[in-house]
Amino acid sequence: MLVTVARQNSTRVAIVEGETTITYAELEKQIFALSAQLYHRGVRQGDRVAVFLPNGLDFITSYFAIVGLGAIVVPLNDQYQQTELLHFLSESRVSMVVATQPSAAVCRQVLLSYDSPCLLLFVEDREKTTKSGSGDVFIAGIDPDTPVMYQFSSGSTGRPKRIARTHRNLVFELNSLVRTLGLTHEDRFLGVTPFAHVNGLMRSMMASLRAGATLYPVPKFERQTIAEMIQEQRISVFIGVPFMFGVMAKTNYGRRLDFSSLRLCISASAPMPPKLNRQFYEKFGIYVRQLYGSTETGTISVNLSTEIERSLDSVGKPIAEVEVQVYGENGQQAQVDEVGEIAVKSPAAIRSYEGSEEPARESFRDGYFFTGDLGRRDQDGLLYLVGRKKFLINKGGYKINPLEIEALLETHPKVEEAVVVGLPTSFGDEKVKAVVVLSGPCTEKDIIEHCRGRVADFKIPSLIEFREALPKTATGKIRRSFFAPSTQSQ
Amino acid sequence: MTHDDHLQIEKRIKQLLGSELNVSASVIATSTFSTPLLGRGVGLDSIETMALVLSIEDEFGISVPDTDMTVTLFETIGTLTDYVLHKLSESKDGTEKCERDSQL
Repeated sequence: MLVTVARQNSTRVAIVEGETTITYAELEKQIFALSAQLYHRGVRQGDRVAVFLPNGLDFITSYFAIVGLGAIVVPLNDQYQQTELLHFLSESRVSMVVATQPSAAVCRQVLLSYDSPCLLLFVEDREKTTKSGSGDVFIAGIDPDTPVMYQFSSGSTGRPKRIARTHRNLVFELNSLVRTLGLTHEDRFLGVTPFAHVNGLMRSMMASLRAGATLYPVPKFERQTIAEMIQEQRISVFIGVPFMFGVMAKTNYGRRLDFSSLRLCISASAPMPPKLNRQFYEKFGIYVRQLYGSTETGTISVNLSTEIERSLDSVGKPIAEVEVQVYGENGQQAQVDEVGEIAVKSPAAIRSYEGSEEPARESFRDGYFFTGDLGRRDQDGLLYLVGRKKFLINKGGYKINPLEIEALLETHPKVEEAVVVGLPTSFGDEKVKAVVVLSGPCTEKDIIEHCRGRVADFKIPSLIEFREALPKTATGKIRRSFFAPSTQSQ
Repeated sequence: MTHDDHLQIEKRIKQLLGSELNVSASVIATSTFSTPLLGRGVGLDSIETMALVLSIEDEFGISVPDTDMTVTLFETIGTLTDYVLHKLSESKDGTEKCERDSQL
């Protein structure tokens, strides 16, 4: 994909990163150079290569260099700690990790425990020019139904499940996004949502490059920097999460900002509270549009309604060629405004999880992916999410499996039992709360200390409650609903 | 700024930790000037520090630039308290200067 786009837009600016400006032709050369370097280090078609990098030019070149070799990209959140890294490397059978020098110590430590041969490539050593510059190591005619990328679902019923999206899946989703959102080479994308996550990767990084637009990757969300960037660089497309839009809406910038260049603000990964959306509109003159998608299906719907004030809490209508059904409790299609489970049929969706049969039978039926999200459709066909059938926690757009945190808490010698739930915040996401039954003296700080370094910081409970016992059902299952309302996820 | 000012700001920051971030009362009660806000202390993460800064700006009428949002700022409750005091004294100086300028 990128080679075609690069040749059609060779003189246009592809990436602006700080003081560095890269045209599509230059980007293509950098990708070819890195792919040659990867090839000489032994990467071949079908190999799995992890990209453990923050948003930036290095992430982008690494992604496309790996794909060009017919290898499989495994994007990993750069906040992951050793245990998580080891888990995802092992699950993906990764043979190379592309990382930065600052993460060298963590990576080397992880590889000591990893049971397969694995190379480390630091982007500080990456080749940026190649003598041939032709991409001659690129694989021609890659089977479109082979995996291009491994991602992981948050795993509502156990360990995270591996999601292998194919070249065909991604090309469909990107073409559909370009058409639905009317993206062109004149657009300027803000790339602040993490590229390692489906939202930032597909709707920001990949959509921008597919449209031949200019992408401004940013490794970290900083509200003043972002506001200045939107104003000065005349950003037209801002893909974010509710937390980002909420912080900007609540920040007193002390001056009037000119966001007139923005034509699309799209929020995904968590529900955007209408109150925050109105605040954002009052301050910047543009409503945030909610988009609904999942790692398994790609983009499902987006709210581009012309009567947006009346439907701020809607995730809109399905994008082209994506079919959405709402199934009631009786397994029949739900009526208008009746709540049921959302099922999706899409050419961008996977057909099953890799290496995991049981949940596949539950989630993939009759050509649909059953999302576990509860929703309804109004008489105009607009889709509304109202909750989750599964019990994932949504922290700033990151999905957290409470079972993972419960298992970690229960490895503490003084913890007998624990349940982890999400509590709603004013930003539309949730904070992580642990309710713990102790077997001996232990403080909240002991619990937090136990978690630190074992999981990413965003997964560590920020609220801990001690109880004598946990409420349970007759069959001994913990009553999660006792501690927290059901939550929704996008 | 006096020792009492320090104590007063620290108390208000702790109140914000409870009211805005739902940090539990027992963690707040055992926290001191030298308790880390990140990691092995109050246990805030980057999302929560952003939420805390928004409520501090609102509470004290100050503005925290991106460049000040560093690990050092959130090192302890004390470093954050010192920072707020510094910003308040800056804005007080600024106000006094404006008042003087307007009188000239």
